[in-house]
Amino acid sequence: MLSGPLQANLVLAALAGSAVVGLLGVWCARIIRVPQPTFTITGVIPMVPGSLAFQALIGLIRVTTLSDDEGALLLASAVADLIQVILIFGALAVGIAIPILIFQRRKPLLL
Amino acid sequence: MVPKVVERNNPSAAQPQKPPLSYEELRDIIDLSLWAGQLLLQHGAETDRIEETVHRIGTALGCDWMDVLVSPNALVVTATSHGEFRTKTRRVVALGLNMNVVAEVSSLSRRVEDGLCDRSQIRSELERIGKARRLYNRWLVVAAAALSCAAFSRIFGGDWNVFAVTLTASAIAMVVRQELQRQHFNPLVIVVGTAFTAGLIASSADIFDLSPQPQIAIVASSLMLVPGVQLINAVEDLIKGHVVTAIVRATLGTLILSGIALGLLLALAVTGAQL
Repeated sequence: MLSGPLQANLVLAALAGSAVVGLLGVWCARIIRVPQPTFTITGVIPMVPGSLAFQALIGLIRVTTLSDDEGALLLASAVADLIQVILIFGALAVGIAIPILIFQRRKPLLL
Repeated sequence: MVPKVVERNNPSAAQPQKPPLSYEELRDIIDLSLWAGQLLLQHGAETDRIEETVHRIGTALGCDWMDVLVSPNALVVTATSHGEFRTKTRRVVALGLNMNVVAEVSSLSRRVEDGLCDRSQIRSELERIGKARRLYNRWLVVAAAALSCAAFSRIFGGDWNVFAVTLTASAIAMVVRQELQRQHFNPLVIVVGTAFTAGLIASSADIFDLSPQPQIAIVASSLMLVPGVQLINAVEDLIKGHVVTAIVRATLGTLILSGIALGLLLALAVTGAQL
């Protein structure tokens, strides 16, 4: 949803979206008494950049079969996609973890 | 002498001591908490939760302290009571995602902590959770996966023809996946085979010229294979400091993604469709 106005920055959009999921997940998990990941992880699955990841990987494999010039272009866009994918995954996980990192700081159970 | 070192390294020394447990009781406790941890690790819980749950069950059952080591395919647990200790290692093979098992084991551990379950009750509960069949009928899973892939094709800007092709392709691919799973193929082979099937059928959008953007159908029809939970768990483990499990999860996830790309490329090579 957020990716509309913020098209230029899919990563920030993913961060904002998953932070909302994380907050709602903590709240729902407390009400229904189930572990948070039941809501949080499944909640961000629609934001997982699956098709972008395919594009990047297929691009990387295809580079081998193209001429140098075409290959260089494709390589650049594939690597850019790949970096985007990695950043989005990072943003999703950080977003989910935000409420836990902020509101549930407790002494570690295991030292 | 030794006691001082022990006190510094063992936080339980500072806590009020529980009544000592016999060697046999320790064995029983370690078995139960390891079993709970195994169920969690098998069904896709993150490392933090596994450590906490095993620790919680063990200490609630009367141990002074539990040390837990979670590795991607093994668990090591040491239970301590009044200087007596036992350690057990168990090899664990991940079985895939089942949030229901994770939720049930977590709520069991909370009941144990509140003192509502004794050891035999925990044993029968864990047996029940471990044996429980999948929650959803396989055809329901097929329908849901196909529908979500098709919905994604619309989000990517495909028309209704693309929607229909994606729906068909991912439904058939999902059935193929379930069949391959039943034959116990290697997980990567399953992924490549499923993506190949999906790509093969989705290529029809290009071959029969069903839509101006046939490539959307090809990409969207294998979206149900994306290891989203695996990769998010990887980053989450990384944030919480479990670097080894994180690297293993990320590697496995990337491998699965590459498998999907390989399957799609094979399908494109066979049908000659363009992406």
